[in-house]
Amino acid sequence: MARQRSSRCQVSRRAFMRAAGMGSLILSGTSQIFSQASDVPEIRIRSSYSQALWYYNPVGLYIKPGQTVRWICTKWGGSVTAFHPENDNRELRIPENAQPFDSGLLGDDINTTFEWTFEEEGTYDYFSRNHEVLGTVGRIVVGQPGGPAEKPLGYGGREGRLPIFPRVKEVLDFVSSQEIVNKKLIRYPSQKFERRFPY
Amino acid sequence: MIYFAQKMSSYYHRGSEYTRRTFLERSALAASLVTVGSTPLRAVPQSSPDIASTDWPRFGCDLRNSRFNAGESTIGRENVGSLALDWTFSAGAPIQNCPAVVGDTLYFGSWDGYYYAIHSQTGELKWKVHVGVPPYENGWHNIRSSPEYSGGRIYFGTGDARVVCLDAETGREVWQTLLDNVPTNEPQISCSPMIYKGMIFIGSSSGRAQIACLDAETGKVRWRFFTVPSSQSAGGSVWTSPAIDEEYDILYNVTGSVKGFMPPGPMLYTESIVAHDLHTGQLLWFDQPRPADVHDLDFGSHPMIFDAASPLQRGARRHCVGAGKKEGFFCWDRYTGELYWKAMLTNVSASGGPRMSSTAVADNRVVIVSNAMTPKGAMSVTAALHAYTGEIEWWLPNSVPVRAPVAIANGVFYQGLLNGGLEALDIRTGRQLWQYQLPSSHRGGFAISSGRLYTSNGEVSLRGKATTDQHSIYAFSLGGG
Repeated sequence: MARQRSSRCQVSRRAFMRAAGMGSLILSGTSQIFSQASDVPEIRIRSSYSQALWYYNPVGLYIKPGQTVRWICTKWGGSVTAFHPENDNRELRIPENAQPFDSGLLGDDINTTFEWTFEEEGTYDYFSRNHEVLGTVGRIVVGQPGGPAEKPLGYGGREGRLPIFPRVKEVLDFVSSQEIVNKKLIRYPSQKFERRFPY
Repeated sequence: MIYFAQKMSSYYHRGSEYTRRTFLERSALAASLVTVGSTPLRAVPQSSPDIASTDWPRFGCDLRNSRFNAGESTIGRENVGSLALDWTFSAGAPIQNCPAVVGDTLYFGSWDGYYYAIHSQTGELKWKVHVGVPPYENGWHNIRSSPEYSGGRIYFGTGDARVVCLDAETGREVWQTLLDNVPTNEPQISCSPMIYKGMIFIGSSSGRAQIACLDAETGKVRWRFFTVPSSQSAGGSVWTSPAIDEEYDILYNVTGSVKGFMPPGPMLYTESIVAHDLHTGQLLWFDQPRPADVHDLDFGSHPMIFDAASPLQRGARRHCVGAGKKEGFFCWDRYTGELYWKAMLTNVSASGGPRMSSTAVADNRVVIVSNAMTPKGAMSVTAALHAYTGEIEWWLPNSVPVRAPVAIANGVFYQGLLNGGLEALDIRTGRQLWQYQLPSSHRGGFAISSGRLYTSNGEVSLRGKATTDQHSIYAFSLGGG
């Protein structure tokens, strides 16, 4: 089935080639998340009804500046949305000079993939609009960790930003930036966060 | 009563106030009905004068959505064992809706994108009309909505969210109405319509699902009720057909799970039963057994109206509406929303419980098929529950799940399994009286009318193998053709 790229997709051929080269060099030990064809790291948006989960896998990812990441969502309702005031007043949790991204709605009959090229170094936190309350968040470290995402979760409350949900804090506390740098990718620990029926 | 007053007053009512006075009026009404309840359980009148009592004119057969044909007297416990294949009609593509049978004509839709009218006694084609639905490679967007016959027309929904009205005699289109024009909602209609007093009631499955009332003559929307506030707070799909209380013109629908949690907070009408004044769309009451559920425990089985007689107290009646959810069967007072009983026969899961309208009610029994996920795979359990108490009268295990509507007529319960097996059971005991093996999965359900049993098969593949030319309407009669 043909899948459209998001209109927000910002991948130049040059950036793509550069990203592909660096990606294969840096993440050679984690080849399972790279598509064979492009070496663009892929993050899947998954759900498990029996575990009451919507999540990004991997939940933590390390890339180099200029590298592109692809998200794949084959169920209705996911999104890839940066924590940024422009995205409905979320607190800033991407580098100061980085462009905020928002994939819009992803699903099985509409766009199923979203790609974004990360030029600015630092830490990026993002969430799924429809599932934020469930703790559907992820973190990407580009080059070196740093920037507003390293501030305590909820710091934006003093600036009038929306509050952080407890599940968001649980997941982002689990996926620390240093751990991402050390391991290059962190898979989502579904057993840690699952809520089996009855709850 | 205080409990219900509190319960009702705690509800949020969309667009109107549910006043204390209204509540008291309805409570008094319900109380009087219960007290008076010495009247016998009544046969249900049909809505259209050209429909005979033996016909099966709509998904649920009657307006109560019982999937019980009270007018069938030819096939019964004593002779159902001699049912034999009478004729088949191949549509060349899966059939996943329940046929409507009126007089000598049977109506159904197929995943080839056509709606068909065939002779109910011979299987001879009368007409077929392409209704604009893409071929069946397109997954969920096929024809799943069962037709309803009323006043010389048939009505149904399509996989791309249109409500269509055809002339029953010729198949000529009278009108069609698009219910949801937002493509990102991925709208579809698998719900079957209910026609009553010149109005059509139908629900959609969508990023923003709705219950709609349309004018049967023109297709114009009279009122809508959205089950979620916006497309972002998605879900609440209306997967199956509504039921109607003719005494007080109340419409009952059940809804599916929430798909998006934006804004976070209570989504009151997802995984809920909702009761509306069918003329105005005013919400009368609702009940949501599990708020903000993330386990996808849809109400996937249709609401059914029935009056249940007490096993202990002579003359005592309960005026019920019941519906199946993936976590069990729920039975409420249909005027107040009080939960009378609930029952779950299998483990709770997104693939479990009574799904795909696998419930029917007759003879003071609710018969349900509840699916189970076991360590070795899937199976199901069929059980008859006392309509008043929910107590199990009999039950039996099935080796495979059931994902199709079941039916009751003249003391016989009919079920079809996912492996294509058809069975007729004695509704009093569960004893098997008849069986037949279809070449692929049974998904469309049954209609029983004037001495014939009609059903279909309709899965794209069986055990992973592609099937060819195995999608047919099957008609069985005593002794066969």
